[in-house]
Amino acid sequence: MSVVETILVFVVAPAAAVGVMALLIWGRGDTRGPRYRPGREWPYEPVWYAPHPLAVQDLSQRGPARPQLPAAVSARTVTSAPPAPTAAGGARGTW
Amino acid sequence: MSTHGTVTSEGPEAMSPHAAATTTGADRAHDPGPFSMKQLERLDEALTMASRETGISFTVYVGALAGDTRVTAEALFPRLGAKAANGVLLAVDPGQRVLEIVTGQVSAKRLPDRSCALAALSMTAAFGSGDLVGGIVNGLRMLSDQAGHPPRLR
Repeated sequence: MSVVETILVFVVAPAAAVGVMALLIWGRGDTRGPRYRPGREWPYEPVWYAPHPLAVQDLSQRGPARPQLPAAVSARTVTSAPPAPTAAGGARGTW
Repeated sequence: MSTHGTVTSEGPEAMSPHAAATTTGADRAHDPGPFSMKQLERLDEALTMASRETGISFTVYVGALAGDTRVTAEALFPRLGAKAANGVLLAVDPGQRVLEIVTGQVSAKRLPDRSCALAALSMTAAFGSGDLVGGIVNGLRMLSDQAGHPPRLR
């Protein structure tokens, strides 16, 4: 085995193999988001996600219509106010 | 169904949940939020499916909860407006490592505190291992399974 062959087999080939693996591991880092690590601070602005409005509206239009009281009756006898938009329950957790 | 959750970048004092409008990758480039596009798609699908199946409007807040986290989360909750009574807020503060689930007057009847606690437990387990989106998606799935279909569809 000549010197060139030796270098090719023992230096260039392993280096190429390591390089390919390094590319596979770190090369696509940009497609994944930043990873959350518990205990580190959270530097991002608050975000609030809501479902698409159609997802909730769709449902109220499906199914049989609900029986309706005549307006006069409902105004006189059923005077329940709509529920107040306050928190009623829930849970909490820490990690 | 290709809607994505939108991102609001105001402080908690001024913010209200944005109705999810379609955002593109180009939009996201200006606003490097905490989640990647793929994660946002998972979040959006989970939110939309949970809300569609149950008729409850689920919303997810991710960010700092100042002061008493419970009080802050309950103060955010009425900003859902008309949807608040039949809404659920999952407020996650990754910095303080606190999760608050808030239910409204109507949604609490279908999601008792015990079910919320179970979902919270599952979510915090995922958060503890660094999987924010996975935990939120799982929690939404558990809560929507618990709530079931709205009465008029049964």
